[in-house]
Amino acid sequence: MTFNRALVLVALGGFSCTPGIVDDPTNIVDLIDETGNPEFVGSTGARTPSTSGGSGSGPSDDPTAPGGSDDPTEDPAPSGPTGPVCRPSDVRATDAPLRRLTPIEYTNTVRDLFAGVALPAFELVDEVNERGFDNDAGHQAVSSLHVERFRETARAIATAVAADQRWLGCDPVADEAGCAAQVVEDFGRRAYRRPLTAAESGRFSAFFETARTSFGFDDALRMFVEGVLESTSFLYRPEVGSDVNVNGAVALDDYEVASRLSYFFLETMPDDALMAAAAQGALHTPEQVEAQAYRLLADPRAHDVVARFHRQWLKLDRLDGLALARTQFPSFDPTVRAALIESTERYLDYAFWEDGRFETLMTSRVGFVNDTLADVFGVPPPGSSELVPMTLDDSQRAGILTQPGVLASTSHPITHSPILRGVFVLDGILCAPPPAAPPGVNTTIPDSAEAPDAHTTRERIEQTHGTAECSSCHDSIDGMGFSFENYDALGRFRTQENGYPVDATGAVVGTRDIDGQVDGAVALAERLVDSSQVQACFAAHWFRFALGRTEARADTCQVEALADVLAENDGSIEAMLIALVTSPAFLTRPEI
Amino acid sequence: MSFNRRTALKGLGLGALGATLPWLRTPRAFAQTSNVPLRIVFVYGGSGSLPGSWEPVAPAGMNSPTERNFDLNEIHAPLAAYKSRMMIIENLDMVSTSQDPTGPTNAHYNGNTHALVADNRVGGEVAGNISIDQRIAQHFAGPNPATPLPSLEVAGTPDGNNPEVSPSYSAAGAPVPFLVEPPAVWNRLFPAPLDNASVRSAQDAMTFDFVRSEQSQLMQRLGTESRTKLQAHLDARSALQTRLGLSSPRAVNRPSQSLIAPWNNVDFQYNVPPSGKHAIWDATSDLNIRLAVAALHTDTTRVATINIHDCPNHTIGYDDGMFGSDNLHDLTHKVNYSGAPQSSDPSARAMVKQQHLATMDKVRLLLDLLAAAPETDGQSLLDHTLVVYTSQIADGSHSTDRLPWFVVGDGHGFFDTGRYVRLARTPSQGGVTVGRPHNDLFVSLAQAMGVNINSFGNAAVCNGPLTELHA
Repeated sequence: MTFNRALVLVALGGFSCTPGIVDDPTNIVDLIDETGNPEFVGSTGARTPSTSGGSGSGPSDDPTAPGGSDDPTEDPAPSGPTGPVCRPSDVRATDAPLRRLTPIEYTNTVRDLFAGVALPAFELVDEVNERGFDNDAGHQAVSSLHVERFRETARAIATAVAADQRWLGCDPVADEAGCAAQVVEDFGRRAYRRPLTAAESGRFSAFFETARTSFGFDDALRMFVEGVLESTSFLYRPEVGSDVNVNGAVALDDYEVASRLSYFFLETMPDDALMAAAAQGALHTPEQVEAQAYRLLADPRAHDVVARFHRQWLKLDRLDGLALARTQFPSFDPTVRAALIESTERYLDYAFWEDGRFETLMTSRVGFVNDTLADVFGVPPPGSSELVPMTLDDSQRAGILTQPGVLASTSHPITHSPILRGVFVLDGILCAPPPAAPPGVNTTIPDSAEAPDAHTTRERIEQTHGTAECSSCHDSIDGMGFSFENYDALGRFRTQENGYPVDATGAVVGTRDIDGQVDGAVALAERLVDSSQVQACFAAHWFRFALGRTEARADTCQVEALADVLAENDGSIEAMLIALVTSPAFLTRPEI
Repeated sequence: MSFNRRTALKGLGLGALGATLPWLRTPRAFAQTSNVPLRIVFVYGGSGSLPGSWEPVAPAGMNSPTERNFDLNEIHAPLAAYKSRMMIIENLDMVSTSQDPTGPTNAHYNGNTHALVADNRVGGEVAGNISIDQRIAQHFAGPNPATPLPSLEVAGTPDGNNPEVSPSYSAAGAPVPFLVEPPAVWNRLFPAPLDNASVRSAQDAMTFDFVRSEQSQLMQRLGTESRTKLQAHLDARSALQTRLGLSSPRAVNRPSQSLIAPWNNVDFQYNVPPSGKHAIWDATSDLNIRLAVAALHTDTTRVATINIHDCPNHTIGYDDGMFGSDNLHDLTHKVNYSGAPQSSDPSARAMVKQQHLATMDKVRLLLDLLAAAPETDGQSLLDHTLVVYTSQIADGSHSTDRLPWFVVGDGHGFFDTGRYVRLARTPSQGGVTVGRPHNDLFVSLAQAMGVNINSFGNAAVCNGPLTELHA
């Protein structure tokens, strides 16, 4: 598919229910140029190599990478009949909001800054996770509570590290002035994640010296650390960029690239190797960036970051509050809930790290089971309280969407919700969230007394949503949700509900490439995995997480290019992430 | 009305004299006679109330209630002692929601982004302007803040910071964090004194100068948006430094820290029925109400917002599955409006009523504590506080019309209390009627607090102050 794909989307116009009520920039289906301009150039053919390169094959030079040239003759963008390709004007960052360290990034950063020192407990203000990810710079408001907490935390940490000076790397008793000078430069550079400017260096030295003269080395050190930890260059990640202007965008400088890589993959400050590479000017080319990215991905700490991505993408936090009614689910208790959470996390960890293919994530028959969860998975107890990988019945389970934890995450206390399951897939997997029910609409599902003829949850819902007003949205929501009818609120497979056969036939409606009837969640998963819309949606979520912002319409080209990389590399998520960090969106910022 | 009256007074040159003439008594003139500051508390409830059970009713022997002759309905029964201080408002609508071009993610976000903001959203879940509590707080913060804290935001629910239930915004897209745990509230209100205070304060001043001196060079090379963000941070930091130099003007009213001791006994297994979730809601709301009163009494702040939301199932003895409903939220839907499937089931109604009564019990606690706190003029803190009950939605239908809101307190004579104020509904398109925009109430509240505005939120729907409430 080529630019025609975009044109097809124009024709589809996304979900048409309640036109105008949704203006959601996160809707991939909606990411089209409404003026009719194709987002892609080219004319025919299947997927083509990514323009953002970095996957190790194909034309991977990035025309806008730092250190690159803006000589148009060097523009390696694929062209010709094998499109799609991004037009040069599309291939650049459309935004680069100022990002503040999130609480987890702050915590990791001070741990690395003062390695070996026992830091006091502190509490920063949680980021608001409005939609998507809690590192979205657009939602990082500053409040009086924020600055209070930053100040308190800086004071507490400064007090601790002034009392335990092992992190200094010099001995103030032997050479107080020399040590002070060294701390100013070394600590300043590491805290700001770049060399200090001459002006900063002078200002830092003057402050330290004045404080040292007045109050002694220890107090001066405490005051200095406190001041630096409260400075905006530490708390935020300002990106000034280099002098290289490529294609209307500003290439980030090497230190800024180091920070982007490090905070993306490890949620902490750049390590010595990254800082050294930046100092040597060795974070310019896609190959250099790629090499560092592979190195960081191999760091065990990357597991936590990937887990945090999954947790937010799939809204797994909802499981923390899962409280099924004991009357209906006597076997459910906090132990089962904890096991469900861990099992889901283990599955995601397996899919990303052991296999790493999108297809595995979406369709694998592996489940992580212990004796507590055997009944939920419908397998014999493995004789272990630890979770162990087991192969599941391939007619019952396929991929993340049929993992019991994910299925249970949308459940009400006494029943599952086909509606919430449908919305979950439309929103998180297809990036096509339906609008809210119009105000004043009765959103309750009739109970058995009100719908005596209905035997199953599905029948009750079908009785409710028959009107044109409801069906404009619920055809797609319920059509998706009904395909999960083989699972109860706890995620157990079933063929009957209330003694009546389950009907798990559903319908996919309003997508770019996989519309049609579907029978059951296994079939649905196998259809979803092949959808370019689903792949682009997955890419869009990583794009948001990596860049700390929601993609704009003009980012469509790059997001689609990432999906292409995924498709071309046998679904390798790693290849897609490498393409992401070597893309213009990651390595440039717009001109001021 | 009051605006015109003030203008007239000014014209007559009777501003000072007006306070002594009942027929010319203006709110502003009255306020000047008290040296005790006026405070305001916004109580933010979740699902509003139960139509038919909150509107005042006729006293015995009367056919219908009148403006000044009415009995409180069942849900307001806990507030009986404060009836003469109340203004129960009917036909207040969130008109601004109907004008918002940006669709909400769901009906709760619809109300949540407008309840205290009354202006268009900037996203499906994100409000697009400053909320009324923060607007009033901004007035007191100013360049020369009167109190150490501009405002206090506390939750009465463990989910108090969930964007779906968090109503306060300092600006478009900038939600204000709510503190949930009472010990954190205590520490914010009454931070521990520093050791060796004089040396430390000299060092602090020096360190702050160092922090503040980091600027310009970097700023000039960033885009406008980034610069604005950094400047906002530096401004907030500077404001903090100013406040750090202030002590609570009425520190003598500071309670003992044992106030929050009950927190240590709370069972945090709050997802485990039957007691758990109730215990944490009960303790959080109870202690944070007490702390909010302490904040006002010590004049640590003059603006507090208490996000009390709804009590959990176990508070009222509801178990999932009762009345054929999935959970309490579901039951609320089924009972809470005319024509709803179980609206005529008395026992189901009684259950939902209990939930609203639980909220009103907390409001009564707030009022009792304010009434019991003496002020220097011999009156109580309640005499110097406006308490405004607000909510995310009006009732279980998710409607944002006919808000079950009320105000307690006359705002130093600004408001005429002890009334059931039925506002007019005017016909609109499609045969529906529209009440008064809640923007108007906010203008009145702001004016009562000395904030000189004549419009709030979406100016296209705001008519100016809700003079029907004014004295």
